Amino acid sequence: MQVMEAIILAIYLIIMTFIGIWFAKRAHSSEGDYWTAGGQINSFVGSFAFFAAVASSSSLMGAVGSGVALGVPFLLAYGFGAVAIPSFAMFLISGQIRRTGVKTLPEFFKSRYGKSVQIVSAILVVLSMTFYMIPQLTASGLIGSYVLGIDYVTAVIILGLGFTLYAALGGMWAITYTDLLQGAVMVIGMFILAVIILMDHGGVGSLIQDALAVDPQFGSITQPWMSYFGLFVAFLWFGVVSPSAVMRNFAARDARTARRSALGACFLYVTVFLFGFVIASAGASLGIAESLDNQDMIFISVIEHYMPALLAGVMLAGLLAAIMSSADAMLLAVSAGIAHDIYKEHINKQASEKTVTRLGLVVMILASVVGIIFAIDPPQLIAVMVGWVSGAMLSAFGFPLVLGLWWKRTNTAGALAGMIGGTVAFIIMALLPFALVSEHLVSAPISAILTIVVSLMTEPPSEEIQLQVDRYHTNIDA
Amino acid sequence: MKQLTRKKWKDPGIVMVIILSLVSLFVWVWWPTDTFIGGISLAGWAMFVCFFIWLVLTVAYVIWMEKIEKEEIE
Repeated sequence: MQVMEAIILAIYLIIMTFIGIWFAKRAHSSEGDYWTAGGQINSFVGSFAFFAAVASSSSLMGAVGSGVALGVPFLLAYGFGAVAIPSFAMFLISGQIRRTGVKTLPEFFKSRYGKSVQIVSAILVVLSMTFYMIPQLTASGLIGSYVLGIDYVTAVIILGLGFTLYAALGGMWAITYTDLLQGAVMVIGMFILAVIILMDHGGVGSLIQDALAVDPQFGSITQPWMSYFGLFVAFLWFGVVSPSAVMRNFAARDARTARRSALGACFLYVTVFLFGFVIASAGASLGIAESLDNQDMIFISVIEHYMPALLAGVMLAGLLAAIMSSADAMLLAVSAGIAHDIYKEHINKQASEKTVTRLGLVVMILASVVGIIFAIDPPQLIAVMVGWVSGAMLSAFGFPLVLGLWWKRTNTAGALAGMIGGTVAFIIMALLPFALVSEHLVSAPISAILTIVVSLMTEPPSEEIQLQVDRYHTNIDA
Repeated sequence: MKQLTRKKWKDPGIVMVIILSLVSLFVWVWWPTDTFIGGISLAGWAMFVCFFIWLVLTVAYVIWMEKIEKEEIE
């Protein structure tokens, strides 16, 4: 057991839980507060919140691990898409979707296409976000088992239940404010680690040469073009199709704050990938990648090799923080999907806000239990699992959402065909032997074609809906 | 109606999406895997440079939108 690291982790988790409880009372006072922090988040908090919600464990452990295992261009392809996540979502949808005035992704589908599309999308959100819990819990289990010296399964269960507690109690208020702390710990921690590494190796040039001396393939393109391109596309679209990131945007006070938050998040992403580049180079120079059971552990090895115990503890807390905030945003999306979009909308319209919030809480706990059960024996590497979820969400929601906002001819039948057809195509592609993380390069275009062709072959939407789409584009600040 | 369609194409967000797509298209078509600078493939460096291009595009968009808002108020 790593005593110092364990103490820091424990203090950290206790602080997070207190923040959750502190905001619990405020959150439960109204449903709007619970889901979107009452629309009162400023751009500084919003930047870290947006960044921390989207930067999952995979952005850190997975990117560094894959950069060492598959060569640093793989990490750069990851960053190529990931740095553009907040910007691409902002350019393409954020202004329009704010003007719709909805709180969740399925709610948008309801106002644009009607009930049938809303129900299908709510089910797909719940399934994809629950699956997305698995890589997060896997990563937290790896860190927990290393720090606490306990077995992986116990670590997954303890940490999974631990960080569900504060999310369930506080809703978006707790998640947003703890994200500020988590985002800051992550960025500052990576900065300190990168500085220590650069001082140790005497600059960037000699660090890269040290890495190349151990692994001559470190700077090379080692995978087929399609894997890099697939990774780029999956991450580029992540902010558009991820229900958690979209909900973040609603949490901003106004359109201007939302834009500035996205800019801040983009800047944070650039810094994290710059530091990630340095950390991956250091990881390669250690020459231990082949001896590790799990390549995703390389980041932890670099932290332990270069940092004193106290700083290593803070850094591991930062890593766990990234996982925690992503997992919590996912839990909130699952909870909103069932309590808000299915129960309140279709089962019990008279349900009080208190009942809906309580149901959301129960759903969160159930979803984390399901995630824990699967994470005990994870089906794939972290990076691959995250790539699957991004690709699946792009194949399901990407085109029904973007075309719904930009092309008024898109109708219910087209959206349903695109959503279901894209999901089915993705599942078929995932079952076939195909280059890793490139399934969506086939299934997303299928979804786009189905949405367009079926819309054109069927009746156009009503005049009212078409006017509604025009209104998304009529003014800038709304 | 046609005016609105034209307006959509001039939306700062769409302009930025087009620029972003063209820049990334260039990288994916070029894909110089066999040229190395400092031991790292030029394809890797091209993606690295794009981190900063994305940041510049985002800054430009935020300034552009705030300018439009200011003009509308005036």
